[in-house]
Order: sequence, then C-alpha cells, then structure tokens
Amino acid sequence: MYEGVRAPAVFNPETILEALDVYQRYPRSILWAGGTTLMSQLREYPSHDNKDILYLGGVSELHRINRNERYIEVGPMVSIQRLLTVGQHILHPVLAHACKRLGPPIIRSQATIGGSLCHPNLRLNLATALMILETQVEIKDSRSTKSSTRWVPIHRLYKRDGSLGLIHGEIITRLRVFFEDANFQCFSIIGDPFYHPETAVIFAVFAKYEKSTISEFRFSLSLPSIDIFRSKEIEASITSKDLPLSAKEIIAISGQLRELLSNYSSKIQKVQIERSCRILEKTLQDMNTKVFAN
Amino acid sequence: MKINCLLNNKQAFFNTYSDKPLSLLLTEEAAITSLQIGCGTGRCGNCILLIDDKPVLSCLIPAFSVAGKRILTFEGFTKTRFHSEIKRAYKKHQAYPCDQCYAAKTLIIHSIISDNMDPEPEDIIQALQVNTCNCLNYDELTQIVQTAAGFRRRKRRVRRS
Amino acid sequence: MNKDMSIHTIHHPDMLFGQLVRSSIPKGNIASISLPKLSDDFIVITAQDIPGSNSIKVFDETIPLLSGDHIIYKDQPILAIFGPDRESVHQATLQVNINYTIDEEPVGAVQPPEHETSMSWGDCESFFENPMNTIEHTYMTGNTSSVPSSPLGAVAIFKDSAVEVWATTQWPFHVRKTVSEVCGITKRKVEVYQNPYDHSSGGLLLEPSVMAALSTIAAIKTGKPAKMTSMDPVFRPELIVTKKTAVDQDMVPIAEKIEFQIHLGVIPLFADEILAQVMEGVIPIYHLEACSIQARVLTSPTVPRNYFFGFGFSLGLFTSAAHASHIAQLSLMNPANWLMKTVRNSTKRPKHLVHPRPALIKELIERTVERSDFSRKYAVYEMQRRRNRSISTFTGYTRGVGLASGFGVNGFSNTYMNEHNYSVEVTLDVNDQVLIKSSILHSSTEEIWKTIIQNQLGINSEDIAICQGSTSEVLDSGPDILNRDLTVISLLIERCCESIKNQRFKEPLPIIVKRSLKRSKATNDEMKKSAFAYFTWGSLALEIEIDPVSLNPIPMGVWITVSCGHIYDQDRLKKKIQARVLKELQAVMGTETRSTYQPHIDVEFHKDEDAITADPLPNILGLLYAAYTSAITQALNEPFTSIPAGAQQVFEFIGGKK
Repeated sequence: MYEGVRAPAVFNPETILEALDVYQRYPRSILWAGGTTLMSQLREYPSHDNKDILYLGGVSELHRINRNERYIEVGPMVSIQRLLTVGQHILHPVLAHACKRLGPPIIRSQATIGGSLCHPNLRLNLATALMILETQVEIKDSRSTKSSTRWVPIHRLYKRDGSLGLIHGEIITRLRVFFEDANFQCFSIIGDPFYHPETAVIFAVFAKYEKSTISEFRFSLSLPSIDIFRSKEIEASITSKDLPLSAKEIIAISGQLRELLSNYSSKIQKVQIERSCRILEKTLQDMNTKVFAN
Repeated sequence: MKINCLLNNKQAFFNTYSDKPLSLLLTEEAAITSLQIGCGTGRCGNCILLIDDKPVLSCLIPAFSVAGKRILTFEGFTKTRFHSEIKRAYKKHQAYPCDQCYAAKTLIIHSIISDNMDPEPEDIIQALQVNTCNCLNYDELTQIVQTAAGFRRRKRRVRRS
Repeated sequence: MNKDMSIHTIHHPDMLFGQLVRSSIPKGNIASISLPKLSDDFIVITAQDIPGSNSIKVFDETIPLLSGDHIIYKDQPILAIFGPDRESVHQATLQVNINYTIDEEPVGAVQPPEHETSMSWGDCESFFENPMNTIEHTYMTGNTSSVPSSPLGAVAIFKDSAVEVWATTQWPFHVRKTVSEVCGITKRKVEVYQNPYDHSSGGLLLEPSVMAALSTIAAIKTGKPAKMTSMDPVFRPELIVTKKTAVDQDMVPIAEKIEFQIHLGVIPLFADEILAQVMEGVIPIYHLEACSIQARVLTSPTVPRNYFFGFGFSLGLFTSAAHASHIAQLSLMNPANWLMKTVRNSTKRPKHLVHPRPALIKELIERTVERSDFSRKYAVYEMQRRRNRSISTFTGYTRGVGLASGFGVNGFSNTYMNEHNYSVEVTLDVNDQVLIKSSILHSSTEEIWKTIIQNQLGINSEDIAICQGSTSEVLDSGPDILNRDLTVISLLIERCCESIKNQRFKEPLPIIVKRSLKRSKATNDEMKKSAFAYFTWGSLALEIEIDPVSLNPIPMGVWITVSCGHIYDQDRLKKKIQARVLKELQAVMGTETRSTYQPHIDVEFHKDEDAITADPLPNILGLLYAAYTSAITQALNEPFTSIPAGAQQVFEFIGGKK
C-alpha cells in the first residue's frame, strides 16, 4: 500500500511555543485547525503538493475561553459550537447568530474560529460579525528568533484586496471581543457563501440610538470571494439621523452602497450588488420597525 | 502513518495515508459497510459516525486526527441498547429512513437524545439538517425523535427505580 | 459479498485501484503521451492494450472505450492506470503528460442528419396565414449536471480463466456483454453481480460497463483483483422548444407550430427514443385543429448526456404545460377553467399519440384547485400582477401561483419494446415458496412485486424471495430505465402469477413460469395505435413567493393530484413523490438553494384501480417545472420560459425591466 507516495507528515505540537518552533522549521506546512474547509474539497485528496500538516488541535492554550467584565477572549481552536454553548448568555446576538448560521451543530462542533477566519479565499460569517464588533486579534510570529506578539484590529487580518493578510509564519493565538450594548443588531446571509460565494452576501449590523437619534451605526458586508466592506462614509451618513428613517433616506443610503460596490471591483456580480443594497434597505426598515415597536 | 484507535469497541491498527478521509479509511481498509460514501465533501451527511460519543461527518475527518480515539460506526451502534429505542420509534410512526441515510439519521437521532432527552423541534430540525436526504420530512423526523426520547426517558426511569 | 455492499467496501488484499486519464481538449489527435516512471506494481491500459473490441455498444449506438489517437470529445477516457492504492494511482495520473494537435474545426453543436423527425396533422399553414392572434415563446432547459448520490464503480476478479465482476449497474447483462466483447472472452466466462447504485437520476448505463471492462483487463493482465470507482457528474440533455400558437378571439388555440432540438453530447445514445419521448411531451393536451412538429438532435464534442430519467419526456411536458399556462394567462381566464375548456376529445389527433381524457383531466384539476385554494390565490396575485408592482423591499411580498395538467408516459415507446426481448421467471416450489428471477433489483419495487404475488397466489411475503445471484442465475430483464421495474416487470410478474394460478393444483410442483415481452406480431398500422403502453395523468398547483432581498423564488406549497393505475402502497408512493418533488424543486430553484428547505407538498391519488400501475414521476416532474415557471411568470409579470430558474434569473428579469 501507498507505494512511492509520500504522505504529508503531521506535526502535533502541544504548546504555542512548540507550534511556532515547528512552523519556523517547516514553513511550507499547512496550519490545520478543524479541517472542515480543507477536507471538503473533493478533488484535493490526496493532495497534489504534499505539504506537511501542522495540526493545532493538541495546543491547549488555543482552546481557552476567558472572560472579564470588559471582554471575552477566545482561542482560535475553540469550536463554533463550544463558543455558542459557553457564551450562550454573554455573546453579542450578532455573533451568536453568525455562529448558528455557520451550519448544523455537527459541522459547528468541528469547525473552529481560527479556521473560519483564516480561510484562504473566503470571508465568511465570523469575520463579518467580528468586524463590526471591532474585535482585536493576537498574532504570534514564528520567524523571528524570539517569537513576537502583536495585537491588531480584525480588519488588519485581511489585505486591501480581500486576501488573508497573515504572513507565512504567523499564527493567530487569541481573539478579544469587547462587551458593548447595542439597541439593534442583525446578521443575515443570502445565498450559499461556501459553495457559491460568487452570488452570496453576508451582512451584519450593530447600531445604537438614543431616544430616536442614531448615535452609532456600524455595518459590515462580505462578498465572500472578494472582500469584507465597512464604509465609514455610509456609517457616518446614517449616524445622527432620526428614526424612523424615511423611505427616501433609505433609498439614498442604499444608492450610496450601490455606487461604492459598483466602483469597487469588476469581480463583483451585479446580483451581489442588488442583494447587498436590498439587505441594507431591509435592515434599515427593520430598525424602523423596532423603534416603532418600542 | 500508523494509527491505533478503538473501532467498534475493538482495537484497530491502520498503516495509512495521513490525511485520508476517515470514511474512505474505514470502508476501504476496515470493511465497514454502513458508511455511505456520498458526496465526499460534507454536504450529503450520509457518512456520520461517532467519535468519542460525538457525531461527526467522517468524510471531513482526516485519518491522523483519530489516533487514540473511540470510533463507533452504525455496525457498532446496532449492538448497543440505544438502537432499539430508535428502531421502535421508526416502527411506531411507520416512517423509516431510506437505505442511503438510515445509518446517518439513526446516529444523529441518537446524538440528539443523548444531549437532551426532551429536545425542542427547532433543535431537532437543526441537528438533522446535516443530512440532506429528503426521504422523511421534518414533521416525521421530529415525531420520531420525540418518541425515541420518550422511550429513553422511560428506560432511564425504570433503570433508576 | 452481497448485493447490498457498496462498491467502496469491496476489498481484497492484493487489489489494484484504477483511475482514468481523460482528454483535456474537445477534438484533435494525441501527438505523444509521456508516462511517469512507475514500478512493476502499476499497469497502464491504453487502447492498444485492449484484447477485444475497443468499443461499447448501447442498443444501436457504439461509443469508443478508450480514445486511441483521435479525441472526439472533452473528457474522453484516454488511458487507465491501475496500482496498489488509490493515492499512488492518483499521483501517477497527475504526472501523465499528453500532447495534442488540436483540430481547428468548430466545436459547437451540430445536427447529424439521421436524427431528425417531423409530424403534423391538419393544414397548419392555412391557420397561420390570417390568424386572429399568435403567441410565440421559446422554452429552454439548461445544461444541468448532478453528482450521483453514491459512487459508481466495478471490481473484477480473474480466476480459473473466468471473470467475476461486481458493478454498480442498472443492467448487469450489458456489463457482461461489454466485458466479453472488450476482453475477447466468451460471455459464459463472465459473471456479473449487481451492487447498489443511484437510480434516482435514471441510473447510469455506460460508466459501470466502462469501469468493469477496464478493471477486467487489469485483472486478467496481473492476476490480481482490480477496482475502479468514480464520482463524476451526470449531465442532462438540453432542450430548446419554440412554440408558435394561433388562437381565436377567445384565446382558444387552433393551430400550433413546434420546433425542438435536443442536445445529447458527442454520441446521441437512444436518440430516436428520446425524440419519440420528447415529441410526446411537447404536444399540448388542449385541442388543436392542426399542428406541425419539427424535431432534431444536436451533437457536440462533449460528454454523452446520460440522464435517463424519462428520456426527456418531463422536459418536453414542461414546455407544453408552461405554454398552455402562458396562453391561459393572456386569455385573462383562470388557467384551471381555461384548461378545462380547451381540453377535449379530438378525431384530428393522430391515433398513435396519447389522447387526452377530458373527464379525468377535469376531475384532477378540480381536486387540485380545491385543495390548493387556487382560484382565490390566482385572483389575488393576478390583481397584484396587473398593478405591475416592482419587487421592492418596501412593498412586502410578490407572489404567484401556477397550475399545470397533463399526462405522463412510462417505459420505452413501442418501437424499442418490440425490438428487444427481456424476461422474468417466477417459480412456485414444493414448499409453497416463490422465487423471482429478474436482473432488475430495487428494494422499493421488490415490495410491490411481493404484493402482486401475495394478492394473486395468496403466499405470505416472507415466503417470497428475489434471486440475488449473478448473471448466470438471473434472467436478462433489460435496463432499469424509464421505470421498467415498475411497469414492464410488474406486468410480467402478474402474467407469471396468472399462469401459475392456472397450473397450480393440477401440475406437480415446482411450477416454473417465464414470461417475456415478445416481439409484436402486429402490422405496422396496428403498431401505430399508441406509441406508449403505460400512462399516468396528473394535475399540479404550485405557489411561490419571490423573496425581495435574496430574489429567490421560494415555493410555499405544492398540491398534486395523480392517477397512476392500481397503487400497491399509497404511503410509500406518497413519500417517494414528496421526496422527489423536493429534490427537483431544489434543483430547479438553482444551485445556491440550501437543500434543507421543505415546503408543504400535498399528494392525492385519483382511484383508477383497473389501469396498469405506472410511475407518476415523469408526469409530475414535467408539471412541476411548468407550474413553477407559470407562478414566477405571474409574480414577475413577464413570461418566464426556462429552467432552472433561481435568483440570478429573477435578477436578470428585473434588471431588464429597469
């Protein structure tokens, strides 16, 4: 059996330091978290390039969840299901919803936070939700002799063209999500971001209002195979507006988004732009409804 | 790569390709017949088995990650006392999964009632969504799960008393 | 090994695994092939290594097994590599380097002249000279593919100069014939066993035979068992139908011109039968004074289309039922009333076509309308349509409801049925136990066969067995396409039972009766009485809502009423219909729809106990596509004429409107 074939070597470190050490020595190896993405590519087994595997499942530090009054810290190897269970009463609804929409519990138990954030080509649920929660990410670098650590806002994890910004040799070791109250949060997925990213849209909103004036409005929009957007201009144009927003205002805001996306990249499909504008309109109407209901 | 694990309560040893999907490993090298190799990408949900009592899609599990683990396939599950409760529930509702998804659906139902013996319909549907075979609708499946959970509750009461 | 074993689980200690290397160009010649350095444990099979004939025959058509030097379609198998494990074989195939000289010829679809047909009745041209009104639409079914739900494959074992083959085939005798011809060994020395296969999409015919033949060559050359599996997608034929209908002042059709072309890939397997089936589908059920139909098959250097479910009948029925709905909508009448008004008996319609049964159609439509509350919904959505409201996130729902009605056919048309001779054998043994011998094995139909025997001979189900042996133990019952398991084989079993009943208590046991579909002695004129022997009738309503954000058409409910002869197990059939409708809805809604969506699907059977049992699915699926597009048409206020139809198509529509 397996004659003349070199199977990928599997490294199974138990500490972050060990993992960084292995990664430094074998920089071509693939970081393996839950493996749901890597294993779901039918034609990828057996792999063409035989890259070695750096399996992070045995690193206990990466499985930790800590919390204090200000924030919750989560290791990237924490499964989506565990985050949901442990954080049942404390997670932001937008994050909890993003976790639930990742798939049925069996998939959620296997998929990890780190794996979901570091998909090489797709920007998925968690990245979209964590973006508006202004999550901080801890990154350790295995390349320097004395491993360096830095904290960056999550949007810096991705480059301007939407690709993963982690440099080879870097590992995410923690995420810090701050607790913050909001009057309105929502998370939506249209289409199938995993299998048909070219038409899918992921959308998350986090908004605060006082009396009937919007004091803060954050939204992030993921066109999964292209990029995640946060437009400060659109956010600013919504902030300080009075609720309920009129139909005219909503159409004007949606027009702003249409213009932004149309000029962004020719890779964006027209149906994606249409869906993005429609989901923004719908969300603003839902916010109106919520204000009325209160 | 050499892998030792407990397969259906028996020690098993494999000398295999390190990232070979567990579904292929078990069907090709351990003659496990209950695993349906469907899409191979985690979409059909027909290749479910239990690792350390938790249900997983075996096509998404690489061989290297099961070293030292306890694997229970449907063959092994049929020898446990839990199988009869689910079989009785199918019979009671005269609704049976098809040949393709029987093993997978049965193991998912088992895992639902193992986690919660009084599951809500929403949780049942969410858990069963991983298997995309349409042979039974969600109403039927919800009833089957709730009946099987009832049988298990009753059995537990009897055992306690 | 038993017949329930998946092909993946068949394993032998020294077994070789095989994989195909396919062409990356559509047309041309192979200039050179460079193979990687392989150890003695590997074996490469090219066209030159085939000991017998390098071709596979399917009825009248022949297709090359391996390409030789000349490539005739993209993805054509060029060679196979067998080795000690799937992983090393896969790596080896990746290292095969093939240089081509590419043909400059166009690679688009062409029309081979031999597969063309036409039919007409009445003087169509005269009605189109001065018509009151004409309605013209072009209907299309896209190039859709699906991955089989379980892998296809074959295992060959060569021992004592004979071959044992296991294959995921619907027709073990075709595998036997292919292996025998390709390997140059007599049929007697080839035994074929069947493994479970995905028959929901019509079952594949070519691939298991290709894999069995190549595995056998590898097994003979090395003396080791050899196995080959595949999960390659299956492609459906693409159909384009143009319908031009002349209608009177009340929007009642008078004459119709129909032109259709069906694209079947490189080799038009079953072309004439497919033309016959689609022809029957595209002819509307409403009365026509005159009609002319032009039909042709297109080929191109692409993989042979391999979707045998209904041989395209459902696709044809979709176009005729959708067109009827479009005319009904233009008439401003409720489509249910319009259909009941326009379907009537006609002496003009040629005898060999299926003739509508107005009373039955009326009854089926009435039952569907009542259960779905069709008339009320149609009126409401029609009002909405006429306001021409855009699909906006502000204005809430946009809905539509569609109704379609028509007939379905099962089995081959008479031409095919009379050309081939397939059998079933039933034995009543000395212990009053029954054994059925047939090469078609389906667990769902087996129950129906047992019920037939139970009813006819009064024998308990547990005393009835179905022979699960190899080709040397069972009889050739033909391919399992076109629901022949249910229609033809059930009928033959019934005939066997009748004969046993007559002989029982008179003749000594065991009584063995074999029945075949014999060549018809009828004259050509008599044969033209009806092209098909098994019919179903149905009516279907479907309600959809277009989601204003995702633009997905979301089915809210499906109501089906069918008449499909005597039903042996209503619950089982109902579930089968519900599951299949759901699967088809997901396919027709486009690729991005999550398969977890389950609308309400209501099925009611119209009692027709005397009619021969037939599978209603080809009928229901055609009606489903038609009702779905009609409902979208009403919701969008634009004729929607193609499937699949999902968010992308809806967007293109509303984008165009803007």
